[in-house]
Amino acid sequence: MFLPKYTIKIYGLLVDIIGSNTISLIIDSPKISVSKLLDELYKKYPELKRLEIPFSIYVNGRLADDTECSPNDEIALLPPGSGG
Amino acid sequence: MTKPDIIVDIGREDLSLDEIINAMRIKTSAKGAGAIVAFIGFVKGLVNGGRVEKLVYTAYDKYVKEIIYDLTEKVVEKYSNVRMVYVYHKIGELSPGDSTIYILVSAVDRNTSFSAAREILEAIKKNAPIFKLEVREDGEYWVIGDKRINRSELRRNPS
Repeated sequence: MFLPKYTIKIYGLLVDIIGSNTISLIIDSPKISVSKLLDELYKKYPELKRLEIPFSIYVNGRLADDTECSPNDEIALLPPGSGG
Repeated sequence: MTKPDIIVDIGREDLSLDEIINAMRIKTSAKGAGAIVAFIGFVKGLVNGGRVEKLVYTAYDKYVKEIIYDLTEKVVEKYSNVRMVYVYHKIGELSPGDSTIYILVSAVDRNTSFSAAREILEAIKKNAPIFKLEVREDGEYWVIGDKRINRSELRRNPS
């Protein structure tokens, strides 16, 4: 049986921390809230939490606070921006 | 109230400011505009006493333009006298002295142009998904707000 795989694109310093441009999480649920997804990410990569940086999750290009996402969504984990 | 024109672009080339300013003057004078403010950010050659070799900008490529557009629109909604905004952010490797961002605001009055340009810049600096790596003679640093995080402390050891 195939379990749902969530693919998360990552940017900036996250690429250095993880050593890749994407993170894959196998979660036994077809949908998950963004806050739970972030908890799963912190569980798998505790070094992200240790940095004490407010990371944001975007779903299909939109900043997601309390929405749900599924493996079909385009999910991104972003550090704070530093444009300008 | 007429909605102001907002143009947002991302690229690696410098802009020809004369061309843009002329186009904005022509386009907005008939709408009552009489003041353009142009802000140009550029790469510092010295930060915290360390010589900067280059900045490397990357972005949440597929959506960055749309997000900057939304941030800009949210600012100009507060200013009924803004007639046109042009925002251009560079990405890629930039050397000291290279321009990084251009923000031009055409408005009915100068106060509006100055205030809106400043507010758009602050919104972009805080909320645009653009990421800056500062390569200095004393190391490579990710810039996060006022913090700098040394890249060598982040890299995952291959297991």
